[in-house]
Amino acid sequence: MSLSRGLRRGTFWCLLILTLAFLLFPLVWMALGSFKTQVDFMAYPPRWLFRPTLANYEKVLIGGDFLKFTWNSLVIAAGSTAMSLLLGVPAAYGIARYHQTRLGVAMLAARMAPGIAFLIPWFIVFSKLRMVDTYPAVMLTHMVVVLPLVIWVLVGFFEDLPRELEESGLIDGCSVLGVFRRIALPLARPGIVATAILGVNYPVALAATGGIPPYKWGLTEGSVLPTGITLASTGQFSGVPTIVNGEPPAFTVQATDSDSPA
Amino acid sequence: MSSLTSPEVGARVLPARPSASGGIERWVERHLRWILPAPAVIAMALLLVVPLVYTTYLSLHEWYASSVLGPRFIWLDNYAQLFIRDERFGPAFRVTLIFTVGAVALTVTLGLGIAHLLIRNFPGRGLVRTLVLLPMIATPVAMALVWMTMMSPTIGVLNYVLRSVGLAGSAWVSSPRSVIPSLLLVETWMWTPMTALICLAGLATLPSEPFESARVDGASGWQIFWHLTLPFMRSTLVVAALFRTIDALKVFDIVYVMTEGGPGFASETLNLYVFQTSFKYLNLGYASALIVVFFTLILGASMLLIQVRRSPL
Repeated sequence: MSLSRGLRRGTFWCLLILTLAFLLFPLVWMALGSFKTQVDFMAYPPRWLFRPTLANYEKVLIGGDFLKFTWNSLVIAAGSTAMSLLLGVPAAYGIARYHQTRLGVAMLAARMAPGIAFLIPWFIVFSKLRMVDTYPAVMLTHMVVVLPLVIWVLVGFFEDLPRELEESGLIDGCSVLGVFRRIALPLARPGIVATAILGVNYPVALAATGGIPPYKWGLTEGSVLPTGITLASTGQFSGVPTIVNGEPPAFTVQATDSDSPA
Repeated sequence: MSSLTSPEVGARVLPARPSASGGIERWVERHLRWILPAPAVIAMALLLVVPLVYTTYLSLHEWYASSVLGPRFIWLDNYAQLFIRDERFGPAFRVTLIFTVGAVALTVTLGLGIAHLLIRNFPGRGLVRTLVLLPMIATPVAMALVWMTMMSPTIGVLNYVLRSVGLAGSAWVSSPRSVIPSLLLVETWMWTPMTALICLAGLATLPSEPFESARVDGASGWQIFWHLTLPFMRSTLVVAALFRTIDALKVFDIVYVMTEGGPGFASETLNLYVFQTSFKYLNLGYASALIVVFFTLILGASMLLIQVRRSPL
């Protein structure tokens, strides 16, 4: 008994360590690389021990607009997530409580549409509204990705809430809206927080890629850069505006990695 | 008095709150099922349906993003060309399909496995859970670049590790034969945390009684997994697979950064092809037709999965 238990515990820890090694190694490698000089970075066999340098960080933090870009990413992520929660929480509750599965599926359709499908129409609309190059425009476009996610995750949470609690609220004379506010919402709070984390992650990720590529850069003059670009120590990002026949200017984003042989 | 009546009657006996807005409140109450989701629906319709309609309209036109020569109506010519004459559409379709099947299978299986590890109680669980989520929080473009340096055939650390245990190094993304598996490796690394998180949430909400009684009755770990966990987790797993399918069909960033569809067209996905058509060749009409077909494909795959979620086992 105790032998088999010890064996199982050993297997468990082995699997856990394997998982962590797989998931964390690239991040560790990136972190190590950020302290390396060009020579150390290009060395083969790869150098595990080297004299660390802070020059890369100096370049990123002092030389460039990195902090401003990070701020942009955060504002857009927070804004689009807040808007999505505001619209998504009541919608998720409605869908869960009244079993509006069709509506849920329709919302999901939004997630399926390739972002590239929206770029041109959006740009035309936003330029008519003089909203190009503003935070709200980018937040709105991100909402298309975040809102369906918020709704779908939260529908699951609301469906799992014990129905009895809400019913007893109704019986005691609470309105449906009151039940939502006083019972369902507080109970679902952990779920909502978890969803918010998921939601924030998406815009940041999108900001990094320039969206499903073109739209982010088309709207923000290449000012939104991801937070995780410490890699800039060995490469660089640049946005080049190209204007074609006076039509909506498109940004071509070039991610060059000066150290790896292309 | 209320102690004498049944609860249902008691609810009706309670006096309505006297207020001027009573009528409005009742109206809201009655139509709540439409009012609650209305803001979200309107927002999505404006942000989504309108652009899609415009894209569909454009797919029936020939237009090279010029303000001098506007869109020219050409009936279904774009679609005819796409299905009959286009030599890049078919391969891109196949690459997308293979990538998607691989990505969904790998991320969902591994995600469920990792969630199983993380649901247990062990010292440092909170820290491990946070660490596991890190790849998801890291930004895809940056991480794709990191993987590029790791996968470098000459100076990459992956080949170094392979060689030091006596295996031959791989060409990774520089060979048409290994490019898709390499991209799948990166995709799996990047998105397994998300499926693990979804599965973890699913596992956390499982009712404990059936599992306890199964254990009391002497069921083995595998029996519990097959006959209890999997059926209970079906809905969660389908949702995870659904999200992954949609995202994998639309894969763009890692492919664009790591291979740009190459070598040759060996890793060109549909999304990449659409992107090139619209922003490299500025063939907006044809790109719109591609987008319509692409979108239909994603819609079809998703509907299929939703059916799986609904239908009984």
